[in-house]
Amino acid sequence: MIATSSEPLAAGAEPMPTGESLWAKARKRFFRHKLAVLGLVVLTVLVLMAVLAPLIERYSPIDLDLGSMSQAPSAAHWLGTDTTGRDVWSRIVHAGRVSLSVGLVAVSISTFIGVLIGGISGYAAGKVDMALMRFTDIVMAFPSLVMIITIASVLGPSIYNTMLVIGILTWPGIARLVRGQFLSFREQQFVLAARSIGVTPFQIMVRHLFPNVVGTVTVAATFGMANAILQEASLSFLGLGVQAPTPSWGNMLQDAQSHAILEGTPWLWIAPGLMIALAVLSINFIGDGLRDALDPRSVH
Amino acid sequence: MTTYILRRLLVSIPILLGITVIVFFVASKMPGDAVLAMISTETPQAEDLIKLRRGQLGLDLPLYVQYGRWLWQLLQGNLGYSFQTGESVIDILLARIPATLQLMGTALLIAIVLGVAMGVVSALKQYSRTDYTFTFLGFAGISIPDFFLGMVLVYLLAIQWPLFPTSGISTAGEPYSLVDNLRHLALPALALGLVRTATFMRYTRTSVLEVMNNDYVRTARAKGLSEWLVVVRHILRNALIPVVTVIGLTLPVLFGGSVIIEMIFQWPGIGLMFIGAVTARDSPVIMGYVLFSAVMVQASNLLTDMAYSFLDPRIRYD
Repeated sequence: MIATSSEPLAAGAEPMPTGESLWAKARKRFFRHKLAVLGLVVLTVLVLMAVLAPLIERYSPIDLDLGSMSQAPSAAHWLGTDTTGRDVWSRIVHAGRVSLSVGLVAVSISTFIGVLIGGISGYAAGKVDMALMRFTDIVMAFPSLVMIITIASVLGPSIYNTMLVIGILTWPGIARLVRGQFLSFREQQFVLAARSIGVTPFQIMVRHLFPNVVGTVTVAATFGMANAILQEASLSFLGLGVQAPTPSWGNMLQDAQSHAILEGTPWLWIAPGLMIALAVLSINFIGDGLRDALDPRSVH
Repeated sequence: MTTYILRRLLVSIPILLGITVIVFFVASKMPGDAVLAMISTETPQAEDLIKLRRGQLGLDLPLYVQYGRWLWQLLQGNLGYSFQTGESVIDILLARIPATLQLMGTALLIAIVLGVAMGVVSALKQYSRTDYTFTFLGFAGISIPDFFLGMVLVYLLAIQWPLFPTSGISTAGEPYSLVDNLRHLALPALALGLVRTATFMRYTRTSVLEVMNNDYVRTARAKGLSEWLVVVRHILRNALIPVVTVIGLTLPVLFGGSVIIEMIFQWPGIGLMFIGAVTARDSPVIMGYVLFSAVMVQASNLLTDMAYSFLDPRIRYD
């Protein structure tokens, strides 16, 4: 989905300085993207809901209340109650904490690994590059959800394993992106100049090369976060991710697999499903806006 | 062309070997092994028996020796035996692959036909309301979990308006009929296919926009061809070549998606088998499925590359 031109920015292609910083321009481009702004607003609301969950919950998200099982939405229970009498609204806001943080941590892990492997591969070139890229090809050869399910079942289901598994299996995209950029930069004059005055390779990568890929990586990581949330939902839906009683949007849907619940108590599954879609959609919109803002050379 | 295919095949070999190493390593970390599945710990002298069997099966050998033996078996087409039923994994896979291929194939077809059609319309009417609507729908498509879409479809089209059956591949107890099979196929294939439509739409739109402004398209219009002919013969022919690569990109996600969709709809394919094996910790079956899916992805990448070089003679690889 992310197409980036492989040519390095030609010298002299920089527009004339207009007194506006690059960031100010990027910000302007981002806020011109209406859907991205909408996504940002929705995501902010979702994040606030998650952060303030203990304040806006109306009942405990975990304690059972067998006196009020499977109730339809009402003034007392805005989104109804589940089969053990727990308030769905309270579970939704708490699940937001879990699902959003799993997404964030997972994408941080995959971005870190991706930048590291891609950076070393692109800067070192030659045999190191060859070896690392073959390794990347091998990791990419597995359908990611299939491998996520397999490894999650080996490690055992838990919220931390979910973060870890999604993180360690979804880095190849970013690695390839960073490697491509580093390869094209490494022969350029600013790198030669740095090398000739004795700057260490590590310093060159961190100080001179990395700042050039921050935009591209941010865009990829944003789309990566949307994907990570979907993968957490799938894993928890299968019962291999976040475990009850801790709610996540995915494991709330797991309870609705029986036709009785699907038919009789639709509020139990419609609400968490819509929350996943809403969160992922708004992050994807933000990603699209960031691409316009930070990566204007890309074609899409 | 031949050298390209040969070289491409050679590159796949180390990748396939790497895949087997990873699959073997992951499986060796799985709790339980063939012996524990065969011998109950309650049997008298269970420990001695287990030790004996382990020795016979070579499970006490170093890991790399075990890998070598396993790979040798693999090359002879032996994927091991299920811990649960004792059946050969390759037989279980072969029996269930047709169902999965039918589901994935139909889903892919839905995604391609719908995605390409929407992409072409979007590009031809760039910046129109239709274009924006389709773009929005595309974003919604990639954001909705396929299993949630599956649940919505079941709720609407199988429960509220019972047009389609809720699960299975055919009505139990009735002789096979194609109509019955297709009715069962409709909802899972839609759930799996609709959410992948967006990818094809975006690629088609970009590609058509690029081709549209070429001189030969202007020439075709100038010589008075109807708009339909211009679009079909001159624009689409060239614009659809890059879209071929999207098929290769879609296959891995289709594998992941089919696992969950087969579970929701109790579709008796390899995805449902895989989830059953994961729950039962039946590692030979799990390995068999993971290996099969990875090899299929490799094969599809290879085919995509070949199709691409065949369709676009401008591309030379040597």
